[in-house]
Amino acid sequence: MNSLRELQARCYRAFLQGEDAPLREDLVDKTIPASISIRVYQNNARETYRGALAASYPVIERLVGDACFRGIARKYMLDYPSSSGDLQNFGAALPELLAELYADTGFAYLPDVAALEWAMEEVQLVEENKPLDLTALAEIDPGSYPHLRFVRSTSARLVSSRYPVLSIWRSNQPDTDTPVNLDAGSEHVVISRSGSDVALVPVAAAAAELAALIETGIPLGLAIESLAETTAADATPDIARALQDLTSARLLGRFELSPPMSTH
Amino acid sequence: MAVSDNLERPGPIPAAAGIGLRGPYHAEFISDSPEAAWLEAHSENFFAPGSIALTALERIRENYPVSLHGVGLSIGSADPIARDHLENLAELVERVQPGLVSEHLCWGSVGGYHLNDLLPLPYTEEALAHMVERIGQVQDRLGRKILIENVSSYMEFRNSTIPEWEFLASVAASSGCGILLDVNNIFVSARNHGFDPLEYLDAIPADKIEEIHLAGHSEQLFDDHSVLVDTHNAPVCAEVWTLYETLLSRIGPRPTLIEWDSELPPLTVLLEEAGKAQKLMDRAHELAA
Repeated sequence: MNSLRELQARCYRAFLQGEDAPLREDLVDKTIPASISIRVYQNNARETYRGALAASYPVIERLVGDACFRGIARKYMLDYPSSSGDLQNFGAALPELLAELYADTGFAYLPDVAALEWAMEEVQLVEENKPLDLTALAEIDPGSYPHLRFVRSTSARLVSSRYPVLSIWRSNQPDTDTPVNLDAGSEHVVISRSGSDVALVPVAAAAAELAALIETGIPLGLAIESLAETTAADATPDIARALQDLTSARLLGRFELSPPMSTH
Repeated sequence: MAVSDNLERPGPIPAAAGIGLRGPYHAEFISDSPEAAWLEAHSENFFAPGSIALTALERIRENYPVSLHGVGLSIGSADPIARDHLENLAELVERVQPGLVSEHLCWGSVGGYHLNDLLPLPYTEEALAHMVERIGQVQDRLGRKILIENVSSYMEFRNSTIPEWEFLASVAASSGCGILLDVNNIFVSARNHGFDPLEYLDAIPADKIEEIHLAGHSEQLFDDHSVLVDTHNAPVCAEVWTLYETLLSRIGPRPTLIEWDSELPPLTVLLEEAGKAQKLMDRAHELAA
């Protein structure tokens, strides 16, 4: 067993990390020379990982172009090596790598576009949540509203960006080539599973801010206080509108009362 | 109670030509129910409970016999079997109740890191005992026989002492698994390593072959060296059709799958390829009668 394990380790180092020499000794130099055998498998590895990333990030691939995307994929496979025989979650860290590569460049929007694309992947892989039960919500005593604790739907995500991230995504779909003004300001988008599709719904900044507070697990009363503190004195946050936005975008999955109380 | 217990579903995989079920075809199979004898799905694409893909597969399963074909279990690795992967597979098998379950004669991980490739083993007594033991683990957990498929290869190990075809036959004999014989993979490896594909075909016991794969490959140049690579992006080539016909004449019809995984054509192209395989099987039936 040790000899098999050691041989497999030499293959891994040759195919992924380019350490060819030790493996060459293990291979038959016949119809295909050993050095060519290794190149075929190195090429297969690069193509497998590039393909897996391209399937999850078609907009990033289009934005950076084929050659650059290949370079990114190559760095990714080395920095974030696969730890599963199932590639469905392989690309999870690409937004992190893009942030590292492009933070202080004119392409600093790329990590947010990648986060949007990855959120689309994630919601496809989970069961669709039922929408928030508005009837049950209507039965809550208004005096208890500050104690309401909303929980994000497991089949929805929020991506907030200081860039027009949804406009960038939309303008880079196949057969679309609409210019985007990168200085157009921030955009916030709720990504949710909707049957066999994924829905992208833009929400206002106040709704996104409220959603971020809700995500921390604090009750609505505290979230409103916190929101009021960060809002300019002459602009009262429209909480009802923000909650309505988040509900219709299907970001909110359910609610609880804190401290626990009956809903009737 | 598993979902599968409640449903009337098409039964076992017939000795007929099926096609690989890939994501872009899901909607067409759900809405139009095109005529196909059976479908094969890549197990790993359906591991996530409640996912869009699994929901689609369950709907499609109501109308078609389905087999599950794994590409990531890495049975031949010296690493322990990835328990989470095997549990995901077991759960999927329970849910889908496939006619056949298959994996590969290969390895793909070491030290917990994966290459996500179907890498050939050294054909040694050590590797043979290892494969037999590992297939036993998988069959025990799934509570059923699995099929093992030969892979295309682009390297040969110096320490191999057993021809691949004898290794595969021995794995099946000792583990009780069946064989999924990929004729394209035999052709690709034969061309790359200079062996006779007919010798390979003849060495595999007929009663062990429970499924056949047919696929396209591509020729790639590395410096001046031409290598056939199993890319599954093209029609089945003439030589592979001939080998398939030869195999059928010896063993008779078997469930046969047209695999196409990249640069996917319209579904009709796959169905036409399956039609060619079906004609050859029908002819084999007539000759055997």
